[in-house]
Amino acid sequence: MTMDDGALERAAFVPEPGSYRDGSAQVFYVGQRVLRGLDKAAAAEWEEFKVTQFFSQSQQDGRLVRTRELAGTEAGQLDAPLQRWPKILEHERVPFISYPYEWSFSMLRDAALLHLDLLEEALHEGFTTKDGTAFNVQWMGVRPVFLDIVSFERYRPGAPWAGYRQFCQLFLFPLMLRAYRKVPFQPWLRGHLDGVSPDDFRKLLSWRDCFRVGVLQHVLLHALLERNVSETSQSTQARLSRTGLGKAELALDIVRSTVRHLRKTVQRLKFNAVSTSWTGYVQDNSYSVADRELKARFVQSTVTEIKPALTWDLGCNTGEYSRLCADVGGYVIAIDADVSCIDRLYLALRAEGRTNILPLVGDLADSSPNMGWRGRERKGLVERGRPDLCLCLALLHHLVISHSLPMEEVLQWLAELRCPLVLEFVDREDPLATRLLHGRQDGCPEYSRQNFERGLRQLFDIEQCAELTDSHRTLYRVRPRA
Amino acid sequence: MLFGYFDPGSGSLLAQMLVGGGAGLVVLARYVWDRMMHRP
Repeated sequence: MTMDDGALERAAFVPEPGSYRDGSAQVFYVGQRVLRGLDKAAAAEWEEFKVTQFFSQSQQDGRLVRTRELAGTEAGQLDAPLQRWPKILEHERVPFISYPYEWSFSMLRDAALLHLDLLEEALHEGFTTKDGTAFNVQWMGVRPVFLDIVSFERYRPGAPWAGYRQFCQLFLFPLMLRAYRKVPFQPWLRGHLDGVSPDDFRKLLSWRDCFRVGVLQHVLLHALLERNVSETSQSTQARLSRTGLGKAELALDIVRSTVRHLRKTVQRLKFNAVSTSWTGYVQDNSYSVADRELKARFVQSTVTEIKPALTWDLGCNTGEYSRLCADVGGYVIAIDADVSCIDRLYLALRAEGRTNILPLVGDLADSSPNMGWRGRERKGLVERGRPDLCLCLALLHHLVISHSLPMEEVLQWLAELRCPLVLEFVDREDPLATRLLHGRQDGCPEYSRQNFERGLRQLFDIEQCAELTDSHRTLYRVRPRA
Repeated sequence: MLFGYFDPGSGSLLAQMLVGGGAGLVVLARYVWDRMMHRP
């Protein structure tokens, strides 16, 4: 995190491609620093917002991203295109950007509750949020942080909450989808960046779901009103003002009740984790005690030597090796395709109070792509920051055997990360590998240690190698050739 | 009243009245009555 009071380095400014929707402000990067330019109207809102007790309190407890205003002299050092903004803020840098379609159920739920808590507290001091999107929240480890400072604006008497629909589409309905229908929400959020509409979500519910908490008001009647009210939002707002909402206190009470009702509904949504082959992986795997210790020492010595600022643990499962890396230092992205594993890991890390491990749902065979407007609004995994070290432990056989990915291409992809790797190769004789191979009619002949090592030597220098003698597995520490 | 950078949706504005307690329901009822009386 860089938020020095010193002079800004003369680095090129890069506008954030995803920061275009709210025209009153623009996020851009100067070197490692994150800046936000505010137009005249947003600057006026900021002047009022920054002196509230709510702002200073949420800055102290870290729920709102740490923010400071650039002094005139500092702003004067910026490139000419940035000078057009009357006010420039600097934000604490989030170690790794993630998106709601990469979060587990409990992560999305905690992000939703943070949003509602902040909104309720802001309302007490006469502020509201102009939107309700899940993309406003990011993570410092397992601590959710609200990023969009300009989302806070002075509450205008008589107005309902403009962010209600977004909140439902990007927080509430995805959570209900998982809690009530046991359907993972991640593919739905990845499929549509605006989330699940009330009318689409209504169609996914069974008659039994109609009696569940929050469904009648937030889904069924919400969808019914959307389908049947054809007038514009402005006309609806004007008519509501005429029919009673014009009274400032009354409208504010209604917004507060809405927030309370949403919170109560979100709090009652439960994950109901299902046991998968991955949640019991640690108990079911074939490691002896000696092999586990050897593996841990191998990883630890690598991390201690390399001292990575950012580590990716691909196929992290319980996060055993993510913790090991985090203990040495740096920030760890723990990625696994299994949503139950990631939810358990998130809850465990939250209980441990860890601040330097971010668990994410991700399938390497179908990883987050560049998407949104011009394919730049939301970025793929690699585009958000390459790691300094990547752990790929007992993962390759799943990618090659189960997902039928060509081994050469998997190694090529890993080499393109341009960082040292710790790889674990599982022999065909390993009980878990054998089980996977039974599912392949062709027997997956390309999956052999000989082929693996040949491919490895073409792309990497092998720096260290250790055989796990009891379990048909070998560890490699490799570095891609320049 | 002008909204921000996106349309909050008429149905969503009205749906808030449903969860906005008794006062919200009164406003919604009066809204429906007003629409019926001033139908184009």
